Amino acid sequence: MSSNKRRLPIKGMSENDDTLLQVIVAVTAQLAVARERVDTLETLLVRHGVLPADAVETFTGTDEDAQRRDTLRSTLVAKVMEPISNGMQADLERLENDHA
Amino acid sequence: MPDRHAMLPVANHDEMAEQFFIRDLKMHIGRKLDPLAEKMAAVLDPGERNNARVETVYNELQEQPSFGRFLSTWRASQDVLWSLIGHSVDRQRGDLEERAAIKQPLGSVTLDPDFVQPSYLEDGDVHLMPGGYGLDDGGVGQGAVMDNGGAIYMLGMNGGFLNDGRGWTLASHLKARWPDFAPDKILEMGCGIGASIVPLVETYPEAEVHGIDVGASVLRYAHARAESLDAAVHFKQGDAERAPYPDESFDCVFSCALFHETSPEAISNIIKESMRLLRPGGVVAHLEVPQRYEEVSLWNQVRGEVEREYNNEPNWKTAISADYHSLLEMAGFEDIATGYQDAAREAVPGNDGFGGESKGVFRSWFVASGIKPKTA
Repeated sequence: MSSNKRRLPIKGMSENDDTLLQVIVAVTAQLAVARERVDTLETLLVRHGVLPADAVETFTGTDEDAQRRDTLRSTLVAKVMEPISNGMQADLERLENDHA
Repeated sequence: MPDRHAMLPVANHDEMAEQFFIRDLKMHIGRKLDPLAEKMAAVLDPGERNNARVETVYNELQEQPSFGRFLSTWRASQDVLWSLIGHSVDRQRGDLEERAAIKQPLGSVTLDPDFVQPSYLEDGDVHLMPGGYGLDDGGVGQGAVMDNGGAIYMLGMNGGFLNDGRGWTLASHLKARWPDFAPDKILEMGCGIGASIVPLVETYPEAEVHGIDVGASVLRYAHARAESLDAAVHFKQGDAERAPYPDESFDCVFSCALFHETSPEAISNIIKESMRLLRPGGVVAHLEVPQRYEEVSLWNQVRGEVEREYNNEPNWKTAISADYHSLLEMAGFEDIATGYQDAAREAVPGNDGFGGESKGVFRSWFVASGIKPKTA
């Protein structure tokens, strides 16, 4: 994707904040896509009689389901937060070298 | 014993997923990011002899680019937690108000329309909960937000959705020190949504139990919550430093994790107020977090500065540094004990769970207790 011509800095906003908001808008767009796809799947399953309309809303998972979801969630959190932990690890190593 | 109560907001499928996400994000911060920050603090430690050790480390940490991102991530987890809970409660507001309308209540709630909350609460919303403890939304909404958020904030480790671990621990402490104590009237100062007061009702079923706090919405919710658990409690809006009851009204005055959300002056005033409110021979017991400032690690001392600045916990350091034995003594109490009570899920007479060593967060709670002399 090419960069914009004359994308002026917004007064009072740091470049970091501006970039972060771009990222948030982009992530939200992807979330909207995922949400709509799930809705499509639910609609098709109900329409074709595979599931009753309230199947998702009334879903109660087993302990096994909960464990699988916990793993999915913690993996997602760890991946999304990786730049934060990587940055801290890098700062820690630099500080250790500086103070060695 | 039920594992939840009828006033608790019920998350739908997506809200449940959101809340699990925040819980797991907080666990990730605690298990992965916090230890990295702790290691950075250790590298920057100027040594125990430095007079401004904690301040030096905190200032240096803030110079590190990744530390700001760590703080921001942690604060975002807090901001988003309250936002998600707020939306969930808003969706259920009508239903919650219906559930709170009790036809034949066992207890009561008395509000003061002219009440002004203490300045230390006016200055910032504790834990960043929008509106703080004092917000009056005209109903029970703010109490529902506080209750639901609190259970997640404690990561379910203080009695799950009942969030009553501290209340059971306080009751257990009373049974440990005074197995035959049979109070007629009990008061909890700073009762919040009444999570800790219900175990006291269950432990002393013959007693008349009262609770005071600053927020009208929180108290309406506390009342409905207690009723849903068949607990008769009389809630009143008031300031624990100037409690709206006559002298010598109670046989037992207690609080659960109140001091660290007040001010240095308020701690002393609340202890003096406990003395005024107690009948001769009455019992005071104040429970706090299970850390003492001089014993916590350098990182946890720095963490205290972070909590003060970014999570509106302005009195954490004072509350865990205070000499409660002296404060109780100066207020006129006798038979004073300070120490750690094992976290409990029941109150057994004469249990031996009170001692001088903390077993750690969620395993022990600090308690300072004593007796008002029978003769002046």
